[in-house]
Amino acid sequence: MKTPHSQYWGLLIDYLKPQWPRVLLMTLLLFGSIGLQLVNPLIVRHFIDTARSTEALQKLIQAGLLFIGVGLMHQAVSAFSVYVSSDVSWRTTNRLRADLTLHILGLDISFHSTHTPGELIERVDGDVDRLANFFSQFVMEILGGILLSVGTLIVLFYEDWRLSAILGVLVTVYLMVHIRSQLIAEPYWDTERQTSADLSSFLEERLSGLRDIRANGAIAHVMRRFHEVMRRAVLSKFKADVITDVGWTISNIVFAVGFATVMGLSAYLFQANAITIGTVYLVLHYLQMLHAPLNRIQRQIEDFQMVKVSIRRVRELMQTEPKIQDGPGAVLTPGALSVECQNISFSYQPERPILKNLSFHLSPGKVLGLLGRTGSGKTTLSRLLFRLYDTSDGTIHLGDTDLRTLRLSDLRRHIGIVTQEVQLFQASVRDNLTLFDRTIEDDQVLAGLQALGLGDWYDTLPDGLDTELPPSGGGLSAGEAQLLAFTRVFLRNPGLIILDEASSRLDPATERHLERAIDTLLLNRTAIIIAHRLSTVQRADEIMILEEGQIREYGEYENLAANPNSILFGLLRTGLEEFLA
Amino acid sequence: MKTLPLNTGKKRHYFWRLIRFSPLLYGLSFIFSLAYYGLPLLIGLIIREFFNALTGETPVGFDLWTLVILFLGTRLTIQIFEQSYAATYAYFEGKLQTLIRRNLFKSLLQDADIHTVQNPGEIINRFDDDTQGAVAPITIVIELSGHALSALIALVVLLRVNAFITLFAFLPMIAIVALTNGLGQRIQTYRRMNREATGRVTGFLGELFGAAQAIKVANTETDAVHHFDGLSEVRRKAVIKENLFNQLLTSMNSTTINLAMGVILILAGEMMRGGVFTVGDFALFVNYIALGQVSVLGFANWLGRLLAAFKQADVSLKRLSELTTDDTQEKLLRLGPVYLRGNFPSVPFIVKNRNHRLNRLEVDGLTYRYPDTGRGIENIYLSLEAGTVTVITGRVGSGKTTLLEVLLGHLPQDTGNVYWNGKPIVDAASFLIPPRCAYTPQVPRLFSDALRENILMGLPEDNVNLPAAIWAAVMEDDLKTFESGLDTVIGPRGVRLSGGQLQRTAAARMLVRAPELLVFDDLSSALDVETEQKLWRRVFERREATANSLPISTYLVVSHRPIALQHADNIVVLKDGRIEAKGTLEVLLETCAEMQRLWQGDKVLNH
Repeated sequence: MKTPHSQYWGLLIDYLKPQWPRVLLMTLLLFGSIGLQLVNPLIVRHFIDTARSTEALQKLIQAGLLFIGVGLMHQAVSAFSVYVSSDVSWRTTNRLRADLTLHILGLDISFHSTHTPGELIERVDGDVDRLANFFSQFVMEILGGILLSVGTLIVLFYEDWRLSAILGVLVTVYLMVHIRSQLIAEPYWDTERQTSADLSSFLEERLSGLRDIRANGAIAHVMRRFHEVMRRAVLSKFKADVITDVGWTISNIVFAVGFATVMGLSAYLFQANAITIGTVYLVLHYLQMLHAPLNRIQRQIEDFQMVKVSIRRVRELMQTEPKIQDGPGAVLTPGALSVECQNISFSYQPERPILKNLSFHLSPGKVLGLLGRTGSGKTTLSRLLFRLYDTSDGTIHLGDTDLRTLRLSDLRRHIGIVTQEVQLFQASVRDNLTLFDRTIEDDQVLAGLQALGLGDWYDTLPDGLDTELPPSGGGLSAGEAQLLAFTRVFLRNPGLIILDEASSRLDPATERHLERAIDTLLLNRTAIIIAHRLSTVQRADEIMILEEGQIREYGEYENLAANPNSILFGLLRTGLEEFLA
Repeated sequence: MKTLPLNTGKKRHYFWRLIRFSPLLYGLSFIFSLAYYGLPLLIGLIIREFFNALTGETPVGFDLWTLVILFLGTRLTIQIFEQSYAATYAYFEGKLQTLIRRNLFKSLLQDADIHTVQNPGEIINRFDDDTQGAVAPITIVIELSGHALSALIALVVLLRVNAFITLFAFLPMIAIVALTNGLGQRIQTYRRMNREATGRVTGFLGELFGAAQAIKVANTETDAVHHFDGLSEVRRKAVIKENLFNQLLTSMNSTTINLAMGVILILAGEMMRGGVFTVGDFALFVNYIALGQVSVLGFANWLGRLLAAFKQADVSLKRLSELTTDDTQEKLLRLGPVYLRGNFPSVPFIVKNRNHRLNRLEVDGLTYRYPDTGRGIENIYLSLEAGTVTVITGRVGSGKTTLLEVLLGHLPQDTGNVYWNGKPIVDAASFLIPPRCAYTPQVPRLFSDALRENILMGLPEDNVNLPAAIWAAVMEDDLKTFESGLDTVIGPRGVRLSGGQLQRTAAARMLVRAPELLVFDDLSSALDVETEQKLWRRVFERREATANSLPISTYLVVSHRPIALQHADNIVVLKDGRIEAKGTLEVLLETCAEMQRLWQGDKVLNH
């Protein structure tokens, strides 16, 4: 797969534009440093020719002092330019990292279910790291190398046009050969990036499953798999390194041949009295001086092979569009929302329908208990309400508005969900409660904590809302974590709340403890409580039992519970039997 | 987290050990490096003769064209060595890194405290960058040796050409070495700041992508990225500080070269006029000191880099050793095969025999407190007879899971003992594994592989009863619906499975190991009542069915589900980390208020 060069530059320009004052400064520093670099060999030339003449010794000492002064200035300018350019590169790449992260978060859940966090870290941080160099040094080094070459050619042109011509040919041939010879390495770097990402996701998964591996005696097996993945990563890097080096060797040989030619030519010109010995020295000095910047161009091009692969991966990611798109922007009214599903069907894979032609209506403020076995489609239904997926058939209305006419952000502002798993961040308690939303005031957060019964817990925090939670929420009990999740939703004040097995991991005693919090949470809101246990849906006004994606039973809780022919009635009884056995 | 101070004696030890790891590769890189850095000295001499031949001063007898040919030949030879050197070096570096990564990963798998491994994103970052940092000095030493030898020869050559100029030109070099050394502490500080800031960034990314769905439904994508921006900004500042500092050190090197050149110009003028110092000599000095591939001061630069690399390696090793538990250096640097070639290590299959038999498991005064919260378990006594079912129950936060994790050695116990058939278990984490014991944690993790691989995890399929395990885990119907059956790839962390399927796959993984002792934590939380009943029935049936032949399983179960409690021979009620009561369900329901409360919880919902 080839990406035209303009695309690489496009990315570069987009991200450098806002940094233009710094970029301008960087460019000025570059010109300054190259000018100073060209001056010093001229001083030496002057020195040699003066030393061989009969002029005053004083002039030689002056030349030496001037040389030191110019050198010092050059160093100062270079150091400053490194500072400016690394600042530019980090500012731009940090912006790219943020944009990329936001983009990834906006992608469909189906994307996240096929890409591990480890792999995504590698793509957001690893790939962008390689671009850091591209954003600053690439242009500076390439431009710097070219400017230095052109400057050298101009200076030499005044000495003897033949020298200038042969040097020009040498530089051009050298660069051309090099760019060609580097292209061979590109596919190898491609492979290297992939194997390195594979290693990261392998490690991330195994470290997350440490308990499982240990307790099932699978350490030896996992180590074997590690060696398989590691070998691929190491060998692909080795191959890419060696092939890249072949390119180096070819171009260095070209340079050596060029240098020998210039030696010969300048010797001939000196013997023909066309140039002084000082000029012979100047030519060879310039040529050796050019080798380093040309090598840096070479290295930049070499890095560019990796950068290209990274840019391609970044662009690929940026061009991945979510299937779920914003609607035109209908408006939802605040307060409890009705939910209406009309003939909705859905499947993750075409041949395996999950929901089949499902219809129901839930009035504002009512609580629906959704029962069914694992795989009956309960969680899928909740995902459809959030538009994490779109129905393949049928429509869903929320407060009489078709979901697809709403902006996603508006839609999700009006629905809240609590799931079995509570995701915690190594961040402050405030950030964990607001999920980083700065518009929520501390007062609101504190009120929320009180309302949901976390007041006592809050009082134990050493720095209040600024207290940082340890990684993965260590030190928080499951019940506290669950209450924290309730508070999150409470703070957002949605009109519809979904509790998806919110308390299935809790024991009955703690679960009852949460009842009051749930009361507060559901007050004046519509709710769907998903459960596979009856206990959880006690408070429901209506009950729906799903089986293989279809409604098996649907009605008022009271009516169903009283009807001996209903499934609910049967379930309530088996529950009792189970208890009495 | 513990950090161990590294003393220099240890450092030297670590250094030699890694060299011993692959003496052939190291030796080869060494020789190639000497040739690669040494041969360019000839270039300087050739150029000197070239100028001398031109000006007619003290020619050695080569004519101009011979010198040009000699130049070309030397360059080609250098390239050949360069290529060999780069290849050997790259392989050697890869091998060293594999060794450290392997040791680190193995140590994490075997001994790490579960709580150090809570943020895999951050660990992967250390895994990538700090292992590189740790081996950097070893490879830099190779380059340094080449430089050192070539610098020494160059020095001798220059002294013989003109001792006076040489001595004065070299004075600035001494200053730079001293300066770099003095600034060493700073290098380390900046390095650490950079690494820490980077760790926060990648750690947060890991959490964020792991919680993508939660962030999406909460509609706070932008706000979360804003938080990420803040962490990135801290990192930018740290990186720039480090870069700038390193650049200043580099500038100092260039400045000394510049000073040396200036000194030569000032001193050489008079000598050149007197014919003592030729243009060729001058070219040689410039070539060796500043322009050629090898500069004498380049050596100082490299030495500075080596010192810096040693300091950075210290930081890296420290960060790596924070992840392991005890004598960390020892573990990180243990030599062994890295399997970059040939067959991969075989995975031993341990056949269960009479020595693995469990007659009785006793827990004696087990205590553990979490260092940060002070919660935990205290003074736990248990006794499990072979073939019995023990259920641990209690409210959330009562210490049930902690008890299992301490018992199994995943958390370090503060005090107490566990006895297997009367003998104390020394290292529970490596003793309580199949075929003695298997465990399914509360939140089981699966990997993005095929279902089969996830269940077997390395067991030879022919030696175990996979279909029986799948049946007992009530997976047989689900399997029929997967398009590729057992070969279905289940996605990262098993996301393509439902919560219930995930739990039952984990159960199958435990059951297929047919251990003496089965430990499971809250096995059926994501299952509907019917599937749950089937699962418990089949799991316990297995015990009865196999009681006549060799395997008799003993069960230790955390649950508050009625069906589990009803099957229990013995119930342990935990409250606030202590045993509240023990006994059968009947007895406990009469005597234990906590048990009644737990039981009532379920009863209430049934009216």
